[in-house]
Amino acid sequence: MSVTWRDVARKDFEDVVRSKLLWGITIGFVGLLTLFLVVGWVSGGTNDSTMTDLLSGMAQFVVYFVPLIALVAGYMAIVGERRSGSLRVLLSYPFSRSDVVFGKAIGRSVVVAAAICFGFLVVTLLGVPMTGDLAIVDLVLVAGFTVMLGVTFTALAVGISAATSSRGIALAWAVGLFFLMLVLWEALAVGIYYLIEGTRPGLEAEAWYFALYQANPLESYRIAIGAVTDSFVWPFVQLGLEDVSFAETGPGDLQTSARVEGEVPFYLRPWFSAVTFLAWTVIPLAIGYRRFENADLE
Amino acid sequence: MTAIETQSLTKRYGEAAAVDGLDLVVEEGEVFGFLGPNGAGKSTTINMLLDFIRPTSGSAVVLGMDARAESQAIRERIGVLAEGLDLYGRLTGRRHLELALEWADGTEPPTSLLERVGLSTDAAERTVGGYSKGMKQRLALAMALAGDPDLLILDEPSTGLDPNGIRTMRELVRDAADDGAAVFFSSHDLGQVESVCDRVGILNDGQLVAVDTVDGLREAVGAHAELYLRIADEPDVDLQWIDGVTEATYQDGRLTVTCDDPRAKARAIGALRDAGIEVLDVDASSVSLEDVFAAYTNGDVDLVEESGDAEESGRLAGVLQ
Repeated sequence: MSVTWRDVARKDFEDVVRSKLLWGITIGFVGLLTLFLVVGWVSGGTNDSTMTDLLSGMAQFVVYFVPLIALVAGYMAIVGERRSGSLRVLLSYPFSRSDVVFGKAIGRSVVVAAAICFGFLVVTLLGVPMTGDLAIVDLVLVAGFTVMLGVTFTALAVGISAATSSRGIALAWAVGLFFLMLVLWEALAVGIYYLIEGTRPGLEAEAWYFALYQANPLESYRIAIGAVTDSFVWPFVQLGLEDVSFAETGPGDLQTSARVEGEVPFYLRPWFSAVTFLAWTVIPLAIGYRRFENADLE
Repeated sequence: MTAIETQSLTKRYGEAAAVDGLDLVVEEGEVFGFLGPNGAGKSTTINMLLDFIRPTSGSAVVLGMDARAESQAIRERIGVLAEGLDLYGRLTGRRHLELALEWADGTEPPTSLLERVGLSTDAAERTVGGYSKGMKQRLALAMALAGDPDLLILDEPSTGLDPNGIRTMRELVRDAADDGAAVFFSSHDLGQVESVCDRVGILNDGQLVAVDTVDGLREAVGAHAELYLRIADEPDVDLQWIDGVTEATYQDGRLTVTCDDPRAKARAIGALRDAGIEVLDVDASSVSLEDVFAAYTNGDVDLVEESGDAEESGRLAGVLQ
C-alpha cells in the first residue's frame, strides 16, 4: 500500500498539536472570544441582548483574529520544513509533492477548525446561560462560516508556504495579503471605481463595484454573518473613502441589497460568499502547488 | 539491472556547473563510495537521483526507473539518508521509526531498527528535540533502513557520528550489502569508508575524475606500501624478483621492502623465511587513501583520459601522467 496525502496530514497534525505556539494562540483566541462575548453583553444593555446579537457583535473581531490564527498556523507549513530540512525526510518516502501540499493544507485546516470549534463551544457554554437564549441554528451557522473562514485562510497560508523558498518571503506575503484585505481593500476598490467611473462610489453604486468589494474573503464572512444574524456587521476597519455619510445612514441602508439598483445579482447574494471562500482556498493552493512541483528543493 | 546509472547528468546554476556531464554506473549489490571534497557536487548529484532538484540536462535511472518521471516508485524501494536533514523535534524517536516503517511499508519491529543503529530504547522514548547530533544521525540511519530497501542512498552518513558511530555505520552498510542491497554513499572523508567500498568514484568540481576499486586507485597514483623488517644480517636473497616488490634495501639491521601491491608484503616475508632468514620484527606503512584522494582533488595530478580497453576492464578512466 502506497502512502498518500492522508499520511502527511496525520503526521503534520500530530506534530503541530505539540506546538506551544499554536496552543498559545488557541488559548488567546478562546480568551478573546470570551472577552468579546462579555463586552457585547455588557455594552448591549445586559437584559435585552439575544445570542444572535452577541454573535453579530463578535463577528467583527472574529473576522480579524481567525485569519490571523490561520495564517500563523499555515505560512510555515511547507517552507519551514523546506528550510529546516525535515521536508527531505518526508520526500525520502514515496510521497508526491501534491501529497505534501494537500496533506499539509488539510492537516493544518483540521487544527484551525478544531481551535475554532473549541472557541464556539466555550461561547455556547457561557453565552446561553447569560442570554437565556439557545439560538442553536445561528450558533451552528456562525461557527460553520467561521470554520470556512479559518480553512480559507489556512489554505491561503499553505499555498504561500508552498510557493515560496524562504521563511521571510512567506511571512511577507502572508502579512502583506492580510493587510491588503483588512485595510487596503476598500482603497483598492474605490480607487478602481474612481478610475473607471470618474467619481467615488456613493450609497448607490454599480454592481461590479460591490462584486469587487466582496471578492475579499473577509467581506464574504462579514456578509455571511450579517445574513445569518439578520443584522449589519460593521467592518473591522473602515477607511471611509466611499462617498457615503455614515452619520446620516443607518445600517439598513448600508446593506448591499439596498445599495444596488434593481434586482440583486446572484453574485451579490449572501450565499455567494461560499464561492468566494472556495476561490480563495483553491486558487492559492493551486498556484502554490504549481510552484512547489517545479521547485528545486535545495 | 543496474542500481544507478546516470548519463551526462548536468546541473547548472547560471554559468557555473555544480555537476557536469556525470556518467556513473553503480551495479546491483555493490557498495559504491562517492567521494569528493565539500562542494564537489556530491549532494547535488544525490538530490537529482531523489528528484529533489531537476537536472539541467542528462538523465538518471535508479533501479531501472527514470529518476524524474518515476520518482515515487523509486522511493518505494530505496532507503535515504539525505544531506542536511532535520527530524521532527516534537515527536519521539520511536514515533519517527513507526512513521518510517509505515511509509516504507516495513514490517520489522522498531526495536530491531533501534538495536541495529545502537540507540537505546530509553532514548527512543524521548522527543528528538533533545537528541545530540550523533543520535539524530543514528535515528535517521534507522529510518533509512526501514522497509528493507533494495538500494541505500546515504549522503555523508558519517556526519556528526563519533568513531563508534562510524563503525556502526560501516557495519550497517556491510550488512545491507550482504543482504543483497546496493549502497551508494557520499563522503568527503575517505579514511572512514575505504574499508566498506567495493568501488569508489572521486568527484571533483562536478566531474568524475576516477572510478575504481580502492586498491586500483592506490596503484594508479603509484601508491606504495613499505615493509620494514628487522634482520640481524644483510640477507642474500634477491627480493626484487617477487611480484609486486619494486625495491629492497638493507641498512643498519633494517630491510625496507617497497611494494606496489599490498599483497607483495606477505610474499616478501615468505621468501625470507624460505631462505631460512630469521625476521626479528615486522613493521609496515601504506600510503593511505587520503593521499590518493588528495592527489586527485588538489590538482597535483594531471589526468590523462584513457579510452577503450581501460574503461571496459573497469580500470581508471584517467591515470597519472
